[in-house]
Amino acid sequence: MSKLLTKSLMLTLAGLMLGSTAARADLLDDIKKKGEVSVATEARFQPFEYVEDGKIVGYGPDMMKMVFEKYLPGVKVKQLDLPFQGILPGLGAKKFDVVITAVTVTKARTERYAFTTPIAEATTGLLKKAGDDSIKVPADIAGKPVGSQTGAAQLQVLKDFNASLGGKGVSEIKEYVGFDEAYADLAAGRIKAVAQSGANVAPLVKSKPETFEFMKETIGPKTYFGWAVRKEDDSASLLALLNKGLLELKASGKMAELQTKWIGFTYDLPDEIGEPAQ
Amino acid sequence: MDFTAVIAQLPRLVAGAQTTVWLSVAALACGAVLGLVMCAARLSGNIALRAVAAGFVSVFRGLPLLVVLLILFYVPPNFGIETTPITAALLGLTLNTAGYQTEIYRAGFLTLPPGHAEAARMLGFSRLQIARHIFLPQIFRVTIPALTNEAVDVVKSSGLLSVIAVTELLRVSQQIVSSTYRPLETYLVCAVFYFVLSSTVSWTGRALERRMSLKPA
Amino acid sequence: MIDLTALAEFAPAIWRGLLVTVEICAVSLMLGLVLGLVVALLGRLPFRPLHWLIRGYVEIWRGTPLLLQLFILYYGGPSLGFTPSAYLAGVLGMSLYTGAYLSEIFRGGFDAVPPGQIEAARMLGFTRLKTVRHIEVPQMLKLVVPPTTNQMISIIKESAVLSVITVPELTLTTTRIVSETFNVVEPYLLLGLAYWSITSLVAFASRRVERRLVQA
Repeated sequence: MSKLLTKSLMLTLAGLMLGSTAARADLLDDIKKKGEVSVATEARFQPFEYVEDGKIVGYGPDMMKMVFEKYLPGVKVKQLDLPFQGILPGLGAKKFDVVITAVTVTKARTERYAFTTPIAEATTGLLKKAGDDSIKVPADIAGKPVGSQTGAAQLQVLKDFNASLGGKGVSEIKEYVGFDEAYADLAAGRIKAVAQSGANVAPLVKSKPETFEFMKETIGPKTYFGWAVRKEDDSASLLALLNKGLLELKASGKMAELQTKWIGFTYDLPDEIGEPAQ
Repeated sequence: MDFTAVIAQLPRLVAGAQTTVWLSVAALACGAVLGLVMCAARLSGNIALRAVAAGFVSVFRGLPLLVVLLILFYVPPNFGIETTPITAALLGLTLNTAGYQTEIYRAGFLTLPPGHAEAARMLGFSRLQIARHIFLPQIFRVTIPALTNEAVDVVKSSGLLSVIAVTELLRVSQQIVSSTYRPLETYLVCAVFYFVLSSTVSWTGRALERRMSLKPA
Repeated sequence: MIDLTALAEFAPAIWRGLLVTVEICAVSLMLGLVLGLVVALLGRLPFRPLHWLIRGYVEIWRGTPLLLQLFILYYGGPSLGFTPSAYLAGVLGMSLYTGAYLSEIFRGGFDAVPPGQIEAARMLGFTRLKTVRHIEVPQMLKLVVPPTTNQMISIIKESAVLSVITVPELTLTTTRIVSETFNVVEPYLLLGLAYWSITSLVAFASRRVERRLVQA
């Protein structure tokens, strides 16, 4: 009798607890219930995510597919493609559940958003015109016009680097809505260098070696790319799921395989970023 | 210049153009309904209705479409309202064109001879019947040129929808630029697409104008 | 919901963007006005190839988005040996765009000038040029003020696309604030308010001009 009582009590308690978890909204539960997850991507970021034959492809989408197929089977992915300037603010405004696009993890961003384990290195370097002998080391950009993308972490790195040059800084830092426009302006000769991560310019330099050249020496601190969710508690379980999936891909060597396939080389990545340097 | 990479992507540009066309057509149609309602409000004897309609026109003709779209897309979730890119896009385009169409219809209405309405009333037409059978056909006829221009403007400005995650003609072009690294060629082809679309609209408008003209053929 | 301190923080930067927008619009609208008038007058010359040329200009510039025109001018110019600065490309692109629209409005205005007035002037011994200057242009101007200001307001609003060629105008400035502070509501509402103020001012001014022209 008492056993039955205890059992029923425990059941009731369990029911209450379940009830209370359900009351405290959980994004992952909502996603499973709705059968749909909305993902934001800036599909203008070769080789991470870009469009080919009408489909968003790249290093990011490949990993996303693997993680979702394993941990969110049957859930439909609604992928939105929008300009980078709208990606993080849109996440904050709850326009989508998760950002699956290579976002550089920075101090300012970790204050507002939660990031997954790093998926690639994001350290900034300088792209210059092929054969431009006036720029041999990064500091040579002093006195010249340079550019990067509005709102991008690489722009901030460029600004900090410029400040570190002291009195003889660059003549102008131009801001572009997309990196493609910055590349076009570099080719046109209006600017002499574009601050961007090495992984992103690899396919560009490969396709137009006669026009572009990436400098070996990087600028700024070592940084990483990750995916982002909201920092609120309701997103914690989704973040845990993404991390679990990504770390498994890393441990199995699948991540390195995809890096070779899309980027052309592999990275030695930490599991956690800790406090970003910038 | 080398167009081969862009030509290979033509089917995608066509798909993007289809999105541009259906969104523009839907917005123009919804905008016509809303515009007529607002026009009726602007011309009504009720001061409150007139003020609402005047405010509507002032706001949506005074705000750039881009700003309307950004606000519709990003601001409502802060107040717990969900908007998908397509609804925000359709709503923004509709409100924008309705602001313009209200004024077009009003100008058209003011050109109508007052005698028509009086004659119809004497013949026993109700107010609604007068609006439907006397005013609407005449307003439509005199406003075709202005409506044609407005339709061209809607098609061209729909490119701004790319900013709120609608993959229409312009966004498709941007995506192609990112994988082909051929910005100039891609945007030139994209401009040709827009030109064909807007020329088709103008041509249709002129044909309609001729058909509905009262002058003997 | 709306954070007033955030508003105060963004206002100075948005103000600077606003000044850039006003400046570039003022210059290009004036140049576009002159261009439109010249094109409309040239269109009245009895010279066929000129008509085709003008038709082509008007149709192409009115039939494609300003954004693409600016883009092709700014990024495409260099491959033809013309490398304008962002400002120059912006002013040039907007002026050509404005000119195409206004020339059509002016053409309609000239057509609406009663032919009797022109004949009368000629009979009174006015030369062809004097007739244009003292009879046709002033008459036409009276007729075209409302559509011209409407068009100008449209173009001021469209100037938001100057951001694609790196002109640090109102919209680009606001986008930058959004992507740096992750705030959407306040900056975008402020942006809307800024444009609405400019366009309302222009609309107000145009009604004053219209009234004076009618009285004159």
